[in-house]
Amino acid sequence: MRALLLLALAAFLTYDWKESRLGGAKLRTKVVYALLLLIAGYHMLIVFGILSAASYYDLFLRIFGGIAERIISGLEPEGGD
Amino acid sequence: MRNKITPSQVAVMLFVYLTGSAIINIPAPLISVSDNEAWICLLAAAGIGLLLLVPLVSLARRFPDLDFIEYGAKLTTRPVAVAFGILLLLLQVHIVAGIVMDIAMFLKSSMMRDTSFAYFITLTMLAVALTARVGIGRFAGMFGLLMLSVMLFVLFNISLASAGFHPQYLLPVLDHGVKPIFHGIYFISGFPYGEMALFCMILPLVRTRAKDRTGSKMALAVALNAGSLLLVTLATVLTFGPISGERKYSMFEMARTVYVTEIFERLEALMGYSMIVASFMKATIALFSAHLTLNSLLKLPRDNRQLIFPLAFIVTLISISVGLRGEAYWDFMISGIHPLWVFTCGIVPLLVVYAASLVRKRVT
Repeated sequence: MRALLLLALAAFLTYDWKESRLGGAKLRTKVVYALLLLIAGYHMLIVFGILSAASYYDLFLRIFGGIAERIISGLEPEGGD
Repeated sequence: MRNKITPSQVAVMLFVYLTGSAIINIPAPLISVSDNEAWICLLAAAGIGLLLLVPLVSLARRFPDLDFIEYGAKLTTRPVAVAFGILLLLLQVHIVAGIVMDIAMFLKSSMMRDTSFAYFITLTMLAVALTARVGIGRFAGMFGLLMLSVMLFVLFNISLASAGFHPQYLLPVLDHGVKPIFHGIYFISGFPYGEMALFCMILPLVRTRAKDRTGSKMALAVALNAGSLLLVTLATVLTFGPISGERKYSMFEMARTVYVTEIFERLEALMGYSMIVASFMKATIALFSAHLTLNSLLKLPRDNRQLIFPLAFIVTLISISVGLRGEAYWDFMISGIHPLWVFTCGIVPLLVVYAASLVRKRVT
């Protein structure tokens, strides 16, 4: 799995640099590209087991989880199934 | 990158997007929360979907060459539009990650149990990213044909499985009161109908002429989708009865029950193909929409393709990270959080901008 992900990363970086002319792109494109790679790197560390931290979905679970649980428990029929 | 499509093509895209993974995934979880009232929930949610077309199409008509963020900035302010755009992008990333995760879970649970889902996710996202990169003008034509094959296989499956239908399984109705109906509506209004909000970024790409009837064609797509989902849900109930809610990937499970004189058996392969292809198409449309949103937020040209790969790579890793948390985590994410996420980040921003358009009629 690690090899496949790193290969994919290397492949698209090479392609974007050569074919999509990333080197000549606008500054904001390069900044956002780097930011996206940073976020990807953070999740890669989680996926590889190097970092034990909250992921994208953990963030939204924290935001919506409580409300979702209350909605679902409110929509359960009385007495359960 | 070819990025112009016709009104008929956007209607086909909408049908593909709504029906894509829903036709395989919807019946079991919907039936598990709403029992035999699932068909009522479907009809109600389809009505909500049709209503959602009103702001989508009327805003697109009023601002024909502008996307959601651009006309949102005119009707409200640029910071508000950017905030809405970021919420929409967060939702789009989740939708793509979810679809691809679903493909991986299907393949792992049904066919290749010892293979890590990370391989399925990575290879699927590669195909999705490459397809999104060629532009909607190219893949729109291809998707119509692929979706036709999916629907033909589903209808073939249902027709052969109909020999094992039990009409008595349709009863009882309203056994547990009306709460299961509201629960079902809550679930299905998030997946797939609420996700239509993404089309606010795709409609500017429609090449319009006078009297194009884009809205009517899209309404027909929603209606056909509702009919398809109703058909598969009822077929699932008629086949499996009380255990319908436990048979995940209903069409796949239904295909397993088909046995006609040794010629028509093992049809689950066709359903496996249908599930994967349909989900792939939906993921491509969602990723394309996400890249349009990112380009618009950064005021880049619509046909700029430089950010598709890193966006797809993030989605890949986010999807894999979900898999690490387990199936129960994912089930709650889809059944509980997803409808709320769609409502907050997709529907509410659209409705706020629509309300602003009703108040500010002079802005063009």
